[in-house]
Amino acid sequence: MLTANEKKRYCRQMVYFEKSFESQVRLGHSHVVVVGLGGLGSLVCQYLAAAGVGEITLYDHDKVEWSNLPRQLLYTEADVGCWKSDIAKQKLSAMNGTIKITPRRRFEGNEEDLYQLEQCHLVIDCSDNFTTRYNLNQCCMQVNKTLISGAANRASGYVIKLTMSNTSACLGCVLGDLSTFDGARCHEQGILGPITGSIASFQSNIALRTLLAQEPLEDYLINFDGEDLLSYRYQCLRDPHCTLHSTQDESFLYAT
Amino acid sequence: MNSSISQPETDVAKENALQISMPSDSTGTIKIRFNNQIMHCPQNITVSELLQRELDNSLGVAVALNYIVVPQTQWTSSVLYENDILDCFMAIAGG
Repeated sequence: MLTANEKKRYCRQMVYFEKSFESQVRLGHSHVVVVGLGGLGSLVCQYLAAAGVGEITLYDHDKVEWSNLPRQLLYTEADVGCWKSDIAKQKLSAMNGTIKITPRRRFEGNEEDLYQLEQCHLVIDCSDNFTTRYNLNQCCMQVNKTLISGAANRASGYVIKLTMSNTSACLGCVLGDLSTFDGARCHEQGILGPITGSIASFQSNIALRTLLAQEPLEDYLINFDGEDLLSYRYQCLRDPHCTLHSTQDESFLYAT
Repeated sequence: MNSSISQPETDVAKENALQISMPSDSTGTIKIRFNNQIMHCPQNITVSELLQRELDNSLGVAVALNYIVVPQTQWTSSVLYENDILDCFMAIAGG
């Protein structure tokens, strides 16, 4: 059920939804895990909270720094030095008091983290290193949860949506195994706020569409170039020779 | 990404001239679009060979052929044909 205030609050997006009432209730019963509360995650979680996603679990083990403020719009000067996940809980709860926000620190892929993923409907990767990204990839494969992975630096970025079904692609199928690759990060190559904003918007849009079952089942990558302002969508197929899938299959065999 | 890729010919006049004087079937070359630039390359060239020719380092590079991502394990067996569209982008850690 929606309260009178909730009907007023969500009326614009409910007009857009095909089944307005059911869709909003469905969002209210959804649980999303967001890993990383930097340039992407700090915006994604705001869109989800504002849209009425009922439960959001937030992972981040960093504190707010001055260099975050130009693009991580959830935080203010007063937040510098505080844990991002704690600040995020405080601000998102103020933004929407009807939803549940659970702050957590580092995502390690341990039993507790796997439990969190099992309980959720969707996982959004907004992390800032390949180790976490590939750890999350393996965990999502293990529990068959759709992963929406976003990345950005300089003036470009991409989103990879992976349904993580038994026949779907994984990060390894798309990018190869980069789990130990020390790729360039924002503090080395630079980043513009609106670029992370664009990628975060893509991720949020895909997330809401996925929760409302409006997304195609195929896996894809959207690449966005912020210099020529073009975006292209590419289909991602499972690589039969993907080493990460074979690792997963082996662990599944051992587990059973 | 673009900084590590040699710039193919982009001039329209040059491009047309090449098309007239060197049709792909008689010269052994094909015309493809690589990262939004028209370029000519030898017939039967593979994705792997093209990347070797155009990039300093292909570690962390993702490639899409005609809007479908080609896994690295298939780069050596993926042959390029006339008018193929090849896009490559660098894997990004940051978020």
